[in-house]
Amino acid sequence: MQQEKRPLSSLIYGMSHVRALAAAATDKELKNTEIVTKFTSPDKVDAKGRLVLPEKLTNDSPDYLTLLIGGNVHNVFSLFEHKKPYGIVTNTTILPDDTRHFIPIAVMKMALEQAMKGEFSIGREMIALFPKAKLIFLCPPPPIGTKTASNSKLTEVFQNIAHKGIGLNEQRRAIYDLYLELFCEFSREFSKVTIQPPEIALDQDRLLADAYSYDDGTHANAKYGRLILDQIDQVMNGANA
Amino acid sequence: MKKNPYSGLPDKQFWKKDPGITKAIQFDPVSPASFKITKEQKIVTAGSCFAQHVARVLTKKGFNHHITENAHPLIHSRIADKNNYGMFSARYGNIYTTRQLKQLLQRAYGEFEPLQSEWPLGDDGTLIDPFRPQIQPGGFRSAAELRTDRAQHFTAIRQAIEEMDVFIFTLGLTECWEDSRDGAIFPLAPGIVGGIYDPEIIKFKNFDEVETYADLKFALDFIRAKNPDVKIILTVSPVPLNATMENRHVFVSTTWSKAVLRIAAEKAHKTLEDCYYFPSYEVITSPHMRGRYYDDSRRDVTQPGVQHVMRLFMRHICATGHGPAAQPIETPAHDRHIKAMSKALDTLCDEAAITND
Repeated sequence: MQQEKRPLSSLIYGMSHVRALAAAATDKELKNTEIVTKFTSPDKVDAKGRLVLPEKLTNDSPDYLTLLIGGNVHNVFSLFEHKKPYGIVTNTTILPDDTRHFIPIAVMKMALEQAMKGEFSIGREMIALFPKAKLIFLCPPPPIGTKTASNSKLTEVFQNIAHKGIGLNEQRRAIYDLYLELFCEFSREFSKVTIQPPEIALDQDRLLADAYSYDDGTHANAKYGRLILDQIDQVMNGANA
Repeated sequence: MKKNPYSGLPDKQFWKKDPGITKAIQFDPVSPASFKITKEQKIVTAGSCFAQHVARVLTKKGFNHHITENAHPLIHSRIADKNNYGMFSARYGNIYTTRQLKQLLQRAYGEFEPLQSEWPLGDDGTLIDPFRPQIQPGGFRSAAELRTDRAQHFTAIRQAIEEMDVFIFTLGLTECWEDSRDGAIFPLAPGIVGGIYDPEIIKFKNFDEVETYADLKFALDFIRAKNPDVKIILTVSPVPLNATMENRHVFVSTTWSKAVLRIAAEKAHKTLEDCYYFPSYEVITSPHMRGRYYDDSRRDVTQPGVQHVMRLFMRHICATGHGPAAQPIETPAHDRHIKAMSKALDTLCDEAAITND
């Protein structure tokens, strides 16, 4: 007699970007998948909002731990033009002109790395909390497309910062790519599975397409969350097949 | 009538009368300068690694170390330091030989374009600048990126040269490496931190006193042509050679090199107007100090040594107490944009309630 496979359990942990997944998850999925953020489940994280409290989880020994950390660091550096606009050079883009202060990629990468230090520390501690769990790393959504960004409530929230407008598309994408480089360097230490943003969700500038953007200028919506949940499912079921 | 030609000369001209013999701290071989540096004046520094000490102390004392190539304010000061922003007035790194100084000026003003413009750092396509190979630990991702950085760098050099009131240059070495095709001088031989050493092209060069002085004179005349009123201070680095290509002991090469540099500095001081020689080399190496101003490596200068030099520098060259301290430029340590963005994003993340709409 064939034995029925036990459904795999999963803990998805991260900060604000994880909420797109929570918004997309079905009741059926949520039976075996616990999605925790400090915003939506403050009772399941420590007082500082850094780490999950395993004893508060439905399942304190999930088969998979999926992490999305530091997902807005690229936005901190590039969502809006700095009052002293900067430029970078990538393989495809040369942005500096006389009005922009050039920052070498290696220098910018160090700056992002420093900004990610605390996030990586959270990642390591989370991994240590669930030593038996297989790991999946989720890249955050790319910067939001200009159209959505300019029609969002961005200017309201960022009114003191947005004087010079939204950053150039190529530059925002380049800073995001640099963030991804760091994120992948970190995740490779622990796992081979890093889920990148699906191509279908990107616009012509490789930014998050309007259809997948939430209206706050930095986050993805539930439609995007659905794509990611499906990818997570493929990884888990593929491994379980 | 004088008993002999030495009669009546000042005590400083007699070894036995130097107070530094019994109290080393009182050793003071500095001669009066024809000018004084004020805190408002823009000071540009360049030269070998000892020049870094000078720049640091002047900044600390509130003098106007004129930095024209700063890191962008987004970049934290620790990262800026690691990438050598602010070490000197522009990000040229150590300038060891007077030929290097001469060529740097020529390159910055478009008068010399060396054949070699980039060196590979490793196998991953990363490149370094042959003329400042250690300026950026991560190197550059592409030739285009390196060219862009260099263009910004040259602009900063021109700005520094044209705006400065005082130029302090520390002569460091005579040995270097030359591209035999166009005479371009590299501070480090290719193959040490990047680049490929081809002995058919790259030749060892050890400049003598004639060449060293000619290059120094050229460089200082070049600067004066752009900035006629600039005051010049020359020093010789007391740091011995790390290695020599000459087939002799490294210390023998050191004494030869330092002698060459000392002669060149002296000739410039005697030839050019408002060109002052400051004897930091003598302070550190004098027998009065019994070698105490070198650390255990017998090469690096200790902090008390730097302090002794800079105390004399302040006493004799700086018009301390006159004028306000230089206004610090906007510090990149805690950029407002980063702080405000982080705070706003936190707010946004708190407020956002993504639904399955």
